[in-house]
Amino acid sequence: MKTRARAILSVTAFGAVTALTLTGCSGGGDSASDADTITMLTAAAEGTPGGDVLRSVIADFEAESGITVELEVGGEDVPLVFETAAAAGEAPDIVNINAVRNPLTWIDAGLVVPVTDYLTDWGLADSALPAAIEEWTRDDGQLQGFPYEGYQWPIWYNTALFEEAGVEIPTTTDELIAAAAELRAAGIQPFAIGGNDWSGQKLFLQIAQSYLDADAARAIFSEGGWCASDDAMKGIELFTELRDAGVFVDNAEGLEASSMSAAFMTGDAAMMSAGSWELGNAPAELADSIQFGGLAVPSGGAFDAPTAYQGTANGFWISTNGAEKIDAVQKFITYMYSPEVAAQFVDQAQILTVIDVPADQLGTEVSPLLAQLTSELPTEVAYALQPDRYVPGDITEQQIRQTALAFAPGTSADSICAGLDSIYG
Amino acid sequence: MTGSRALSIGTRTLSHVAVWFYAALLLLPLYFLVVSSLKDNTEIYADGFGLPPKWRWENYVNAWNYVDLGHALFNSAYVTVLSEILIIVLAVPAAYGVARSRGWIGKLVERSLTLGFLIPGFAALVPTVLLAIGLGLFRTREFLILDYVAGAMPLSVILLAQYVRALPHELEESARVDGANRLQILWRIYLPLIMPALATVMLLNFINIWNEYLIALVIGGPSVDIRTAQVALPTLVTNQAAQFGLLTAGTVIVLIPVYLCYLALRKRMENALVSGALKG
Repeated sequence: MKTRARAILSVTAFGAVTALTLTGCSGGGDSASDADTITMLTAAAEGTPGGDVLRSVIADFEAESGITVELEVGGEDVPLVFETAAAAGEAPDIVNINAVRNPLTWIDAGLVVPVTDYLTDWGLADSALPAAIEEWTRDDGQLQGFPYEGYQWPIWYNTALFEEAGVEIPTTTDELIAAAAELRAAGIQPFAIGGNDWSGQKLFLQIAQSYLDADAARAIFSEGGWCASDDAMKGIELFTELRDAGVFVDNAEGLEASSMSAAFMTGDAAMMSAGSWELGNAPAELADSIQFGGLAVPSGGAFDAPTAYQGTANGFWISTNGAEKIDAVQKFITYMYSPEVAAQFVDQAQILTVIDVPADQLGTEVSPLLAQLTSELPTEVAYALQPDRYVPGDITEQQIRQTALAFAPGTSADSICAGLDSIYG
Repeated sequence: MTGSRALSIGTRTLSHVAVWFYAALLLLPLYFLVVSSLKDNTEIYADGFGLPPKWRWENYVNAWNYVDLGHALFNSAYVTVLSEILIIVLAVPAAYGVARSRGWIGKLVERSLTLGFLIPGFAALVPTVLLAIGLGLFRTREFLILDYVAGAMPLSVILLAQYVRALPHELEESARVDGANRLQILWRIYLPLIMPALATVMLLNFINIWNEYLIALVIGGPSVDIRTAQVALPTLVTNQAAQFGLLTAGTVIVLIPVYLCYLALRKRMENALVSGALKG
């Protein structure tokens, strides 16, 4: 949905507001004055499965605790709204957002407080999956916030379309190229992807790390050096090979995640790379044809099985204002971390959480797709390194622009690596 | 003679075709917007220009309810109408003063106003935020009004001043002979005569203010009590998904006041546009 013009405006505004924040401007707001009211900024819109469950559990929390939670919805612009409010000293107490891009800079900018001690003091250290806590912990050991939503990010395959084209689900890149040709011959678009946004960036980096071990991928994501790495270049060349073989849908370089999802959900495309948050959008008539799997890998690569991503999505960040009314914030976070509340997100919104929920607390009928994601997928795939944690937040937008260029036909591997390296400064 | 007539018919036909083609080009996105507002995401992507397989009127109800659009429209109307009033109150006398000034100060003022065109809105974001915080007006609709008025003044004054200049001086001189002071001359003589230009200025400002997003978001913020319709609508888009049916339904609702404003001011604006063509 985000248009390029709005993205440019947002980036400009973000830069300006960050400058404002770092100059120490503060209006000395009074949001900390009411200890029984906490404000939370979220992207979870009403009318979405996750947004509705969030409102429902907040209503229960308010009735149970006597604490009022004022919810503000910021849509895609949550970081911009939060940073500006913080500059004026009127930041919401809690921000509900994922740990990518701008939020990764918030501790250093003094906008949020590390929650390392809160996690242990509030007895929550054993409630969340260790991998999630580790993902939200910085290199200096500070926990940035409380991770909450989790995801599996596989490749979605439409088995009916594969059967129609007479091909099997590919596990190697050679098979993927052959399958794409067969699908196209049958009039079916192969691999839907939003080449123009974060979904394309993730797929590009998933392919680009095909020949990199985890340490090498981590170093390149963090510091660049694409052109200097033979293995990284092999990954980029693999990407261009797939692109030029017609694996991706037509005009992929101009598409975004929403059009990718629509192409797959309407049966126009046979594959897409999307996270478990899309479960709620899967039409009932398509559910039986959906099979989750990994992304085909090349022979001689770093992975011995098709790859997928896993990780965390939205969590809770505590602002400096929130730290001033920490008792109320503690009650809210502790409530959200309870298995009973987390189970509602799984049952009602099909949203995975990082909270360890005993099976007997989940509803009796877990969606078959959700069961496939949580039970079968982890045994069938190798997990690639999720780049969001390592690509510096302040260059993510530029990297997305570079990977969008990579999806454009004719862009060479040398040009792609040079473009990627240029943004690391 | 026959050849000339044939040429004339050919030219007219071509003109008609061009006009109808242009009208179709303008209508196409509007049609897409309206039919999309009655579909869900899947239907929009499956057949963007087709009629909805199921007419989802509930999109309008849900868009209205989910983002409290009634409240947001009130905020937009509050900010826009008060800004318009302030712009008129300030720009009309300023334009009159600039147009009738014969000294260097008037020219200096007019040229300094043109400098206002050179500064893009987002370039002034940081000082604007600082000003809002400094005035204690951050997260208020009142600051939005002040900012929009300040932003609209250069163009408004210059457009009105040009129109005032085109009016004969004799009108003012006659009124002064009859004993009218400057305020009376402005109110009774010039204001009725510049109404077409004023309508144009009001319409341009209405569209700019009603549709403004960045300042409304950054300074007004997402609070339901303050946010305008332009800030409320995008909250239907999350960081992972968008509900385009709801979004387009909300957009149609938000467009209606703009169209009503155009209908109200259309006649006078057209008068302003053609008045130059009739002179001389």
